Amino acid sequence: MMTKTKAATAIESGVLQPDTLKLSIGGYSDAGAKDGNDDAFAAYTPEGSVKLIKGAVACIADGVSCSENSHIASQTSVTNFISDYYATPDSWSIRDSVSRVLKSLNNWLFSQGGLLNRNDDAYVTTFTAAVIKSTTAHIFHAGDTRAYLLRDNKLELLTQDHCRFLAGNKSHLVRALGIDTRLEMDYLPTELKQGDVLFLSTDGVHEFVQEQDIIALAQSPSLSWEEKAKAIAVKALAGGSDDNVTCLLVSVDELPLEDINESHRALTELIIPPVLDVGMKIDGYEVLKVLYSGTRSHVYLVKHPNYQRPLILKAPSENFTEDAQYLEGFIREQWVGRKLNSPYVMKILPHDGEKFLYHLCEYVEGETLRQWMLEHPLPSLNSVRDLLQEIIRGLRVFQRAGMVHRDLKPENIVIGNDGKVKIIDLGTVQVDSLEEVGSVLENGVPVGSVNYIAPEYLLGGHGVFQSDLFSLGVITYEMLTGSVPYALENAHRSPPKQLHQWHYQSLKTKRKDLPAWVDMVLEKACNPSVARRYPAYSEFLHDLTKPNPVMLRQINQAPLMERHPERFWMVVSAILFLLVMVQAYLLVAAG
Amino acid sequence: MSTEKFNLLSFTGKMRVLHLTWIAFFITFVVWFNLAPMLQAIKATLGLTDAEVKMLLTLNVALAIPARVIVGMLTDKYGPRIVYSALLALFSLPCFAFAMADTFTQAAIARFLLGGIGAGFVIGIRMVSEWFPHNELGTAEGIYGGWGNFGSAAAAFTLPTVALIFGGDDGWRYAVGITGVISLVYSFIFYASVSDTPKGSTYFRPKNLGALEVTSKGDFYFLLLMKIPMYAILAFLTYNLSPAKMGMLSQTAAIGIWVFLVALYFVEVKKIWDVNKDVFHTPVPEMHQYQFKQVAVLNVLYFATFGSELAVVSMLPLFFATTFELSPVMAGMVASAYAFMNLMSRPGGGWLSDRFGRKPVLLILTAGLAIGYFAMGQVNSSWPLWLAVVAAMACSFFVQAGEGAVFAVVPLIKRRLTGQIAGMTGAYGNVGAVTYLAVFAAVDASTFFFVIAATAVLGFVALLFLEEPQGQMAEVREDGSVELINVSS
Repeated sequence: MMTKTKAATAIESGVLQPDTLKLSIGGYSDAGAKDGNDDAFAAYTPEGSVKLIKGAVACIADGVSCSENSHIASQTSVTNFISDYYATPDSWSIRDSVSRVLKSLNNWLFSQGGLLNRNDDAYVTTFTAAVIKSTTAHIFHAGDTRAYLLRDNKLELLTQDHCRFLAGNKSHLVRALGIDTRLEMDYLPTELKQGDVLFLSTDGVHEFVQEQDIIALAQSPSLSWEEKAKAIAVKALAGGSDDNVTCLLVSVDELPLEDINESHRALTELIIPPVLDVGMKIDGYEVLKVLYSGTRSHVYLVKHPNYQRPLILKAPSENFTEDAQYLEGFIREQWVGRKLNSPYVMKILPHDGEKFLYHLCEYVEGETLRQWMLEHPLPSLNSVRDLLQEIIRGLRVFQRAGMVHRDLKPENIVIGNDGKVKIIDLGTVQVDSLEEVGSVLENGVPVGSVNYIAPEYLLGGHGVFQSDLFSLGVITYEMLTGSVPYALENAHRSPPKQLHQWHYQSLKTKRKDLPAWVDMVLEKACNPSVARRYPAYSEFLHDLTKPNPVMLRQINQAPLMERHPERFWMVVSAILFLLVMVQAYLLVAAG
Repeated sequence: MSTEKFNLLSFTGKMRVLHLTWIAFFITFVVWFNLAPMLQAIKATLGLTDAEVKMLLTLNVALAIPARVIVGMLTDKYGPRIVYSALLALFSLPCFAFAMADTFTQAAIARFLLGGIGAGFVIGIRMVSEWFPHNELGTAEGIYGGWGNFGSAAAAFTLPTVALIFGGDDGWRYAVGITGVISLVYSFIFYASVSDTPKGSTYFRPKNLGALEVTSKGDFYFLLLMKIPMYAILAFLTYNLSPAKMGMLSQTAAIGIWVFLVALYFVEVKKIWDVNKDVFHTPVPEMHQYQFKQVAVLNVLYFATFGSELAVVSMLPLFFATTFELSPVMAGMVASAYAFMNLMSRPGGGWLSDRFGRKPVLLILTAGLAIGYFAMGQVNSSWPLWLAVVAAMACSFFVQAGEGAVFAVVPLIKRRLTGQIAGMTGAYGNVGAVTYLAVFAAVDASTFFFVIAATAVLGFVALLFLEEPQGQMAEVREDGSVELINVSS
């Protein structure tokens, strides 16, 4: 029986890291001196690929005591938080997932309180959660519950109490779930080390126990983690706690630390197939036609008895046998393809070959945008806009999934015979959730293609969806004019190092028939600086459909030099000429 | 999406780039060796001694060694299109200077400068690797190298006739001048017709410019050692020109050059240190490790193959003319038989190597090379001319197939470092050329061929240390299905 290869696991989870994160969790909650217990805690450690991609969660909540429903608020928060968190898409970052979950939780709590229409019966609770993924604890926090980190015999408070002391030494919560429709959470990512212990507690505990006691109890060797949590709570009660007592200990027993040789071996477990010819078969897929053969990949049209329609088989070039970055991207492509189930993105089909590295994709009959551009030189703005609308639909799929394509170019956009647009090539997609997984692999080159990729990658920055917008802006410009807006000579050898090296070439000289505002829209869409680009695809599309009044005003108010450079220089020259003539006359007259 | 077959008759896409690039290389070779077939005329017009003629031949190849390093770096930085165009245009100038030379000193300086055009090879290798998928790369580079090298044969074949057409003592001047014009004109054609990469190309991994990466401490010192011959041979050449020997250079100038060469070596050592200092404290990940001795073996082999080719191409027309008392035109044509083989044998060597295993093919070719040059050493006026020509052709087959086979192994050593390994191997070819021509300056033709035969035997011994590079991990069955080769089960 063959065990599952590491590469196969990586294809399934999108993560190359070994599944070795080990946590021990123990918690305890008691009503203490009060009648009811308004505190709540919950923790969950999933197995396998879910643990790799979503991590483990521990959270604690303290319902605000003035309300009758406070125990509902805290309990609902911790349980719903966990179930909702694990229901978010795998590709979202922890921060995105958590803030969306908490936002809806907050809205629900607030509206529950609102329905009763009584201020003293609001559903309000403090909330502190730790999501532990890869080697990082992501802490989210609002209120006066706390998270501590116990490392090397020292207890470090990670969170800040959101309280204000008003008259009579009485503290009031200023931030918590359910107080307001607007929710502000603290986000504190913390790097973990093996042997660390996270300690979450409610005020009934941490206000009545000395730090040394927590350290001592958390490290007492004979107790289980649950017993340790209980011992700390008991200590708080002995210390005079008049509140509910709840605390939660999360011990980091083992972190997924990988060895670079190990990772390289995993990446090379699957063999890059040799270049195939028509008639050759790999895992039962017979090559019907060689569609593309280049320095980076080989693409074939194949058939298989299990499928009625022909499929596309894509294999990497052997040039990449030692390029860990590329191999990881190729393996990840399979995972990305599965997560993006959309008619606007080429589908990647699962296959059960275990030896060779390749993908199967659906076959879309049609042409690439590059071919379309060759067949339609200088197209009308209308036809370009229609295509853009379709492409943007595809890009929104990425945006919603927390992904950035990063290699958008005319070759990677296919226009089907049915007129539907599909975005292909997912080998360079950046996935928010995978970015959170630490990697020992060397990162060298910016991915993507010269002329189309956004400057922020070249300058070492992170991809955001506006990076794809930049590429789209360049593509739109190229559709209209046949050339790209930034002439970056030799850029693939010595990439530009500063933003000002991107000089936008105005559309005016290339398409005199297009109105000036189109130029401004494109200039904004592919502005080298992310902050100056459109904040949404819809705005870009909107401005390209209807002239934006602000832009129109700018055009009309622009100095003569910008509106009509030739005329400006003609006037300047004429004035200078006159001046010279006058000077000459004066000289002659004086002489 | 569309695919392009490897069709030699095609002149579109990547094939167009291949054709334009090998023509550029071809022209550099025509210009580089335009003196060889007309040496007799040049010798007569300028009134040169035998020693001076041989010195011209040596000077002609010397500058190529340092020029390769610089041109390689420039190509990394600026791309092949502009560097090749600049090379063709720039080196047409010393070509014109040589055509107009009146004294030995003028001719020697022009020829020395012209040696720089011999650095063209690396530029095209870079260009071709950008355009061809890896499975066609060996053939494409074989065609580039082989057909380009054929330029020396074309020069030998045509230039004496061109000189005859212009006639007179100065006919050779026009012939040489015309090659300069061709080079200059083609630089513009090349610039206007090619692009560095196919459309939509990606960014490059930043290269460690200037020095080859090694992956162990021992290999670090090995690399330092292997760099010495490149400077040593230039130092030796300087000694030959110094007052102690030919007296072309003053004592001060000679010492100046030696100091410069030593300084240059230490600059290179510094660069090697900068790139490789990490091997002394951090182990290199297994995926990136390789053995430098593999590179060293290929260097030695290329020294014997390409080095001897350049040397023999330089002296062969004169050798045939004097041994068999032939007219310059006839001698040029006969001598071109040697380089003629390039068209087939260099790509053929790559093909053989792909098909029958790297090491065995190299062993056989190197053995053939030794025997071939031994036979060449026996040639004298008592031989029938046709037999001498057959010997030259047989010999050249082994030489050029050997070159092809060496370059078929280069990418298999460490794919990531292919460019740098190719650069160093190519440089050793030039070192070989200078060494052999320096030997030729001191001895007669027969001894010259024996010396080459001896170094080929050395190459054969070095080859025994080569480890057969890891080949394919998959095979194609008869029914067309691709299966993994079971390495261990």
